[in-house]
Formats: sequence, structure tokens, C-alpha cells
Amino acid sequence: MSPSKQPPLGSWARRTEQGLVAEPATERELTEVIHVLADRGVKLHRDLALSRARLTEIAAIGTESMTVRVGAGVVLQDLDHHLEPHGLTIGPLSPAAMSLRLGEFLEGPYAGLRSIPGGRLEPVCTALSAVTSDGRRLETSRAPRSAAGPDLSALVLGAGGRLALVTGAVLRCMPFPERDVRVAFSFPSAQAFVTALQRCVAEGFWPWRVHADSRSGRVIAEVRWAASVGSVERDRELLSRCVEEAGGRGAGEAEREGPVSVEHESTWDAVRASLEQGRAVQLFRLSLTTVVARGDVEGVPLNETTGWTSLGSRLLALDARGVFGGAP
Amino acid sequence: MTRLPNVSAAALPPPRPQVLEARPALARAVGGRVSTDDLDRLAYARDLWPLALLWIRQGKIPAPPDAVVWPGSDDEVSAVIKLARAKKLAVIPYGAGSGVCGGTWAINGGVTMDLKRFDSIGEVDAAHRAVEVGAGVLGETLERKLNSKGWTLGHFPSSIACSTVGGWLAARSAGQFSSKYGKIEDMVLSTRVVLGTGERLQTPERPFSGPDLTPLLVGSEGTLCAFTGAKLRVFPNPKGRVFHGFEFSSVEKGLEAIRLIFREGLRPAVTRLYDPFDTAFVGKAGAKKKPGVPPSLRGLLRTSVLPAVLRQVTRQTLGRPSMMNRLQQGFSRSRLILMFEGDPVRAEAEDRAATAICRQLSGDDLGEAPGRAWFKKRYDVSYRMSRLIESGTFADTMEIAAPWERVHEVYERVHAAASQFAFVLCHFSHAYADGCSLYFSFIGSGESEEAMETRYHQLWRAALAAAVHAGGNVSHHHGVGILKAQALQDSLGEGRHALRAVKSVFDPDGVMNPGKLGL
Amino acid sequence: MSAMDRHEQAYTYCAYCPKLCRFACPVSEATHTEAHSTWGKMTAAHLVAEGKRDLDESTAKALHACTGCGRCKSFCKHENLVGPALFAAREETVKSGNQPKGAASTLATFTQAQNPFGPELAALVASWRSETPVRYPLFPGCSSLVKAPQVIEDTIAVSRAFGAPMGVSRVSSRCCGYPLYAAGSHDAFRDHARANAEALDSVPELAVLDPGCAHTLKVVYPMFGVHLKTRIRTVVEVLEENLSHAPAKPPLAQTVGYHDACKLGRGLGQYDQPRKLLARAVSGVQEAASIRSEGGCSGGGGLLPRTMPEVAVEVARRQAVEVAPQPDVAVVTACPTSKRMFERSGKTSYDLMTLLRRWVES
Repeated sequence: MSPSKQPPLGSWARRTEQGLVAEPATERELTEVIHVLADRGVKLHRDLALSRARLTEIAAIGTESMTVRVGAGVVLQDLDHHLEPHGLTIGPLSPAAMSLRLGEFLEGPYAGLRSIPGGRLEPVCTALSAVTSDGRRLETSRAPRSAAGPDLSALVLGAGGRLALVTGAVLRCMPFPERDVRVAFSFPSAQAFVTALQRCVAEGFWPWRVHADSRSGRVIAEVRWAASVGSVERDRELLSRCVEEAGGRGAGEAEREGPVSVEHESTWDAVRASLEQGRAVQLFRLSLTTVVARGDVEGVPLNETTGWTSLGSRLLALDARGVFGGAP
Repeated sequence: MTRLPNVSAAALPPPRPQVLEARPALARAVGGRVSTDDLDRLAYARDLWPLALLWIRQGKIPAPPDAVVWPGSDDEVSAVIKLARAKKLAVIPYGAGSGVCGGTWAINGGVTMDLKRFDSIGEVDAAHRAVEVGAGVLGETLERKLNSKGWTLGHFPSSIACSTVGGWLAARSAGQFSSKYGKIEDMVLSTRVVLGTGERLQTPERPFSGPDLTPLLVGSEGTLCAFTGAKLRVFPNPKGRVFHGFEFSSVEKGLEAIRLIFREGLRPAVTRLYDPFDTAFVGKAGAKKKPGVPPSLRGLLRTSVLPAVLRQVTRQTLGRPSMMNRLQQGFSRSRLILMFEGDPVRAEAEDRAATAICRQLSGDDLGEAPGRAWFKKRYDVSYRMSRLIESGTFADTMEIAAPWERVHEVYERVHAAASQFAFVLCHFSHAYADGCSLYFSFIGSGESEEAMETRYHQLWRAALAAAVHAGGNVSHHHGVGILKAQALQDSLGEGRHALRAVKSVFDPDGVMNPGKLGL
Repeated sequence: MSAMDRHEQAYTYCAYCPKLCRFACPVSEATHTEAHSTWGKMTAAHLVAEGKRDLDESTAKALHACTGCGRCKSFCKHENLVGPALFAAREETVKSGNQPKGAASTLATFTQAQNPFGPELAALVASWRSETPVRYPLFPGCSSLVKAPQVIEDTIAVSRAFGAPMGVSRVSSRCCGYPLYAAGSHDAFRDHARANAEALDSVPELAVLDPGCAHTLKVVYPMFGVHLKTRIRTVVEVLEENLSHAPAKPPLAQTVGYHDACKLGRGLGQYDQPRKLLARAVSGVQEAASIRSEGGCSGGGGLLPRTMPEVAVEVARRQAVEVAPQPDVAVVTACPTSKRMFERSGKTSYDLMTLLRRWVES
């Protein structure tokens, strides 16, 4: 659609160098935008971009459940700074993820996921609110787990704003760590490194970052984690034992500066393959299934939206009014 | 809830003509494995929703399906669903019928599709800690097979003997060790399904781009698809297991202990805190015979004292539950059972850390006996259902979840609401860093079967409303079925339209398990 | 009082139970049918017993969908005797004349021949007259006499090698009557048991080869008020007692899977004896994921091979896969009926006696 033929969107949109941008300040305004777009046949993501940068409310913190209700426009790093005086942190996400706004983190390729002790993946949000293409509100339960029907947050997480637009979420936090530890190990092989880390993760270890470098022939890895004093020591014992059982040993010093590259969601097989080829990687969000990796590792790039699976595309039918612009 | 249809077990209504007409085509679709026999229809009419037990006591059953089919391949499942679409027949996917919410009731007739022929168990992929299994595999069969190879799924629902992998996925099941291993949705890597369109699908494993269909299909209770298989994450058999029991001066302190344990990053496989009445009554009654027997409904019903009491405390006494519930006001102590498992050194270390937290909260250390006793008898509670129903009462359980800020209020409000209609017990289990599940047990009665059924429905309406009003959800792991359908729809608010929209994409003709989840 | 009245509580408890033995029933595992689950069958019996449902043909068939293996009882805190309860309900099918064909024909054969197979057992027993001294009178059971005489030969050879020579007893011409019991012809079974008790009056001891017979004589008879004076022991039990006299030979270099026969294990509690014997005979013994009191079933009991022959074979096939999934590993069992069922399912199988004979003669 040429600019001259663009229907007027009134005060809901402003023109920028990148094109038209709608920047609602409240969920209600966002709902209005959706109705206006539908009325005028304008497609979000194609004819007009949506910014939720003004949805920056950080509501009261639930100190018992360690949760906080946050607007979709809040940058995660900023949120972390906000949480620190309350003795909380958003926890170990990857550097690139921390620079994102909440909405981008939830809707984008990160799909709002993080690992938790035991190596499982769970959404950082325990509940979210969103607006669907018919302008209706979708709000999921704050219960820690549920069997009350399907998890409708799947319409938001990783869906690129094509099925619903997130406006805010209740995020799971963790205690701000008392101690931050880095320990280096040396492994005879990439497989030994992977075996040791996977076992630790399965037993409840929650590393924040792992730097692994196989350029010297052995895999030299620095593992960083942070928690309470007691937790750190329990984890240290577990980690040391798992490393030893996998054939590794302690190492004095390790390279701390990892490769700065696009983050990928990768499998452990991909990480092993990369290390077997004498490369260096940095790993974040270590779960039993996947990790977020920096370096020359195969995986799904997390800095851009790539094509959906055909199954995911089936859900585009939910945008009955065609407001969200169809497939990415 | 409006009265649901039931029929006499003595004379089932004949299968609907349109199903009988479709019978030859159904038979072709599933290699002849179709039945319109009354005995099969009777067997598939009910699941384990206790409401049906009140009916069976009177020789009645829920309205039966018109036919039962046993497909053995995804193609056969697809053929059944496509036929159902063409003939406008309902299809009710069926695992082993262990649900307690009427999730497999054929309220408007139709074809019940038993999926137990999908009973394959693949070899464990040790490198990726995963196993592919058919949706029809029974839990106990799977766990035993995995154990024999050195692995565990870590999924131990009370229904493990009578529930299938497909049923777990359909209803978002949780096992007793969920605090460590997670719920079934945390264990599933990918699923194999046939949608309500008749299309066969396999959901992708991470990493992939775009939205994840698995969370939309898991928990859909047969309203969107039929599960035929899944790839599940497995763990090595635990080498160590540590039990520890504590008693606190109040339920609030017990809850605080659990919260702090999870805040510290500890992940006990089991955390069970029993409410004060449960703790006091059972703990003392059971102590004579078996010191350390954990407080629970199971314990309550097993003690030497109670069987005799229970026989007297049937219709008359339970018919006036407020009197029984008032007794609870005299008790305050609350018992906690913890179990850590996995790496033995790690389990010991986590137990030490948890012990320190419990002691800080002045918890009395009961040693390992209560936990060991619970572990040994952990499935026994379900056996008591038979005796309760036989004694002329009704019994049911409600499991909900709430964030920590709301847990105690949910407990008190549900307790108060339900106490008007039934004797109420509660324990708190399935804990997480941000909240936990509350598991209520209700035992009630009435002057007549009809009065009892009325009271049963009043109880559920009151309890669910109180739960949602106080900040809880409507189900942590039993699912929704018919029982909680209205409560779910109410709690979803405008979100119910999103659920309906998903339904229209995956099951455009509405043939899949109608009436469940309010769809 | 009908036979069903005695089991009313079991029917009720099962009908109200949340299917806690669902995975344990070999028949419903093979048919995948809820109507054949313990819960389904006992619910049907409950409704019939309470007069809330007629005993129609389908119900009669479901009441016969049980091998009486007792695996469900291993998981039942009520300790419901499902097999006996369903066998009692079968009595009603006899009375109402809607027995499944296989059960009716078995009864007819038994009435005529006093055994379920037809041939005259006395003639078969006569052919086993021993020429050498016998320490233990052997009761092979009509199944072995008619269908697997080789196992009797193996048993006698092994017993001699163990210094505990056995010879077929003349009383072996009498079937224990299990088919009558399983078919629900309980009055006839009681009469048959009493007659057997009289015939056995002068026999102080029997070594019984078929654990089904041993279980019937030792456990089922007393349930019907018939108490034998004869000391009933299984061949396995006797041989294990004499294991110290067995030849000091190395085990055969072979791996087999062991199947706990239902009546030997759950019925008579003999789990260790056959394993001890087997451990001497072969170098490798595989165990299934579920064994001993929780072990699976071969599908041979409860007249299932007569009433639902295809299902019985499927039960055997599934258990064979549990015990020995590898095609080149055979199943070994100490039950002639189980062995036959495994063979029918296409699995190579040996009677424990056969394997022991190979070992002692190696």
C-alpha cells in the first residue's frame, strides 16, 4: 500500500523513518488501535509497526511468590535494576535477551523461555495479558501450574504478535544472589563436557553462563552461577563431582571473553559438534533439551523472526480479521 | 450445573440410528474393531468422576456412547474422525477412563475412541534422555519398563495404574513428584496427534521458530485432537532418596517453610503439608499402631479408630458437615513431609538445607519415618473410595493452585465454603517457587440419594467459586471435563473466545469430545 | 445362597474402585477393552448380583475374560479375589445357559471323559508304569499326560539325576477338576473334588508337575470344603529340596527368560525354588520388568484358551515379549500350560524340566 493510499489512523499512529508506528500507552489504547486497523483494513507488521514501548508500568512486587507484574514495554535489564533493591532478579537470561523489551522477549524467538533447576524450560511469565485480533482481552491465570484447559499463553509466546499482542505479564523472579561464582574445568572431549553439564543440570544445577573453548584440543570451560551461599556450595560440590566422573578436572584459569555473536537456540548435539570442531561457545539458559548459544553453533537464530513451522502457520487463522498481517 | 443425563444400567437406550448406519464404515476404518454392544457401551459410559459412583449405587450410569472403536494407527484415528465429520458424530478420545471430571462422558452419545492399542514403548535414547511411547500405554506399565532399563519418567500420578500417556497429555496430569520432575507438560518433547480435522501431525521439538502448538494441544481434553504418541524426557533411576518429616505450630508456618525451601533453590521431589485437623486427628489416632504414619485422608480412613467411627459417621453425621468441621477449630499443628531424590550426595545436602529452614521456623523434627510411611502407601488413598461409596456417602477431591500470596486465603475460603456441604480436609503439595497446589478432600452425605446429589453439586459450585474468588485457579492436575467446565469458562473471562477460536481451527465441525472444557 | 453372594463385597468394591489394578489384568491389556478390565468385569458382576442388570450373552462372555491369574490381587488393598469371584459368577452363566461356547463344550467333554481333553487318562497313566524304585509318586496332570508327555519323561529323568526318583502315580488318571471350577460348574466341581479326596485317601504324598493342578488340590479344594490328607507338593519344590544331590555340572551356556507361572508363584508362593533350579542349569537368566507376585500371565488359565483363544494367544505373546524380547532368547517356565501358550504365540519356550534334563545329561 503506497503512503498516499494509506488510510488515516488518526492519533494512533505517527510517521517515522521506518514507516508508520502505533505507540499506544495503555492496553485500552492498544485495543482501540486494533479496532481501527480492522476497520480500515490496515495490517500490523506490514503496513504499520506497533511499539509497546510506552507500556512501561511495573506494578507492585509479590515478594512471597517472587513475581512482578510488568508492562510489555519494559526493558528486561531495566526491570532487573528495579528488582535489585527488592532483593530479586529476573535471573539468568542471555545478554541479548536482557536488552529486549518484555513484549519482544515473549513474542519473539526467545518465546519468553528460561531454564529452571532440574533443566526444565518454563516461561518467565507465570501469567500474561494480551489482546486478540477481535479486540478481546486474553488473561491467563497466575497459578504456578494449571490443568485448566490448554495453555493459552502459547498464542503469545514465540508467536511474533501474529496471534495476539501481549500487553503485560506477571514474571517469575528469583532471589538476588548472595554470591557469584566462576569455576574453570578442563575436559578431555566435547562429549565429556556435555555429559557433565547435562548431568548437573538434571540434578538441579542452574548455571547462568558457561564459556567453553576447545581450540587447545581439550575443552576448557568456565562455569558461572550465582545463588545463596549455601546453594552455591551445594552446586559447587555437584559440579565438581560430575566433572570428575565425566573425566574432567579443575583448571586454573579460563578465557572469560566469549564470542560475541548472534544468539541461537541450539541442541546439545550442536554444541558438542561445534566444540568437536575446535570452536569456542558461550552457553546460557542451559536446559536438558536446548541451550542459548553464542559462537559458531548451529541452531535457530534468536535475533530475527524466521519462518514458522507449517503447524504454527495453521494458527494464523485465529486472526480472523487479518489485523496482524499474516505469516512473518 | 444442570442435571446431567443418566440411564438405567439395566436397559441402555439403543445406539442412535445415525451411528448404526455408520457402523459398517466405522468397521472399515478400524479393521473391524467396533462395538455397539451394550456391555462395551456400559463400560465406556463412565470414567472415575465420583458423581457416576452415586449413580452406579442406584443402578444408573451416565448416558453411554453409541459405539466404541479401537483404532490401531494414526491413519485409523484419522479415518474415524473424518467419518465423524462427514456423519456429524461426536468422537470421544478415551485412554483408560481414569479422569475424575467426566472428561470422557458421551453426554450426547457418539463414538468413543479407545486409544490403548497405541501401546508401543520405544527404546530409551540415552544420549538425549528421551523415549517415544504410544498414547495408550498405561503409566505403571511404562514406568516399570523404564525402571527395568535404569530410567524413570518421574511421573507418578495416583492414577498411574489406570491412566495412559495420552490421558496425561489430554488433562495436563501431575505426578506426586512433580516438584522435581515437573508436570507432564514439562516432560513432553513432542506429541503425535490427529486433529479434529482428521489431519495427522507431529509437533516439533525445540528449537523451532514460531508458536508452540504443544501447549495448546496438551490440556485440550480431547476437544481439539486425539493424542496417539509422544516423545517424553526421562531421568536415570534415582540412586538416593531422603525422607524427612516436620511438624509446625500452624499451617501458615508450614506453608512458609515450603516457600522458603523453594526460594532457596531446593527441589524436593515431594512436599506435602497436611492441614491441622488432618495432622491432629490422624497423627494421634495412627500413632498407637504405626508411629509416623503421615496424616492424610488415607491415614484418616485406615486408622484403627476410624473404620468403626466412619460407619456411624455416615449419612446422619456427614449430613451435618458443619458440626464435623467445627471440630477442626481446636487444632493447629500441621505436618510436612519432604522427600529428596536423585544424586544421593545432592539429596542429602538439599535435605540438610531444608532441615535448617524448617528448624528456623520451629518445626519439630519427626525424622524420616513419616515420609517413608507415606512413600510405602502413597497410592493407597484411592482404595478408600470403594468403602466410602459403599458406606452411603459421597467423596471427592479438588486440586487447585495459587501463587504464594493467595494460598492461605484460598485455603480458608474454600474450606469455609465447602464446609457447609461436606467434611473437609486439605493438604498442600506440588510446590513451586511461585506457589503451590491445594488438594481438598470432601466427604459428605444426605438424607437421600437425590439430596446427596444436590448437595454434591452445591459443594462443587461453592468450592470452585471460592477458589477463583480468592485467587486460585480451577484445576492443578485433574483437568476440567464437565465438572469444572463452567468454572473454567467463567475464569477465562474474554479469554474464552480465544479458546473457542482455537477450537474452530483444530476442530471446525465440533466433533471432538463435545461439552468438555465448556466447548 | 448363590455362589455370587459370597463375593458380593468384592464385586461392589471393584465396581466403586478407581481401576487401581487396570494395568495388571493380562486380558484387558491384550484386548484393550474396558469391559474386560477387572473393573469392567466386576462392575458387570456387581450389577448382575444386585439385580440391576440381566446376565446377557455379552456379560457372560466378559465374565469369562479372566485367566484367574491373580495378578490384580497383588495390587489390591482390598485383597479382592477377582478370579474366584468371576468364576463364581460363571455359575450363573451355566444356570442361565448362556455360557460361551468354549466353556460349554469343555464342560460337555469333562462330563463325558472326566477330563477336559477327552482321551481316557487311565490308559495313558498305565503306559508310565515305572520299572525302577520310586521315591515320589508323580501327578503330572492331564494336560501333560495328553499334550506333553515329553515333559513327564524329562521330569522323571531329572528326578533320577537328583536322587529323588519319581514315577507316575496311578491316581494321576483323575483330573483335578480345575476346568469344572473355571467353567463355573461349582456343584460338579465340589462333587469331583470329594471323589478325588476319596481316591487319594491312601496316597500320603504327591509330587505334582502342573502347578495349576497343585494349586487346585491344595488351595481351591479347601475353598469348597474339601481337605486332602495327601501332602501336595510341586515337582519344582521337591527337586529344589534335592538340589544338593544334583550332578555337579557347569551350567549350559545359554540365556533364557524366566516366566513365573501364575499358580506356582502367586498361587503357591514358589518364586525362589524354580529360580534356584534354573540358575544351576543355565548361565544366564533374564527377568521381566514385573516378576514374582507382580509377574505377567501366559493366558492359559480360566479356560481362556477355550473361550477366547485368540486373546489367550495374544496374552501369551505379550508376556513372552516382556520376559524375552529378543527373538533368540527362549522363555522357560515351570508350567506345561504356560509353555504351550508361549509356543502357540510363536515364541520358543521350554519347560523347566526339559532344560534341567538337558543340563543333567550334558
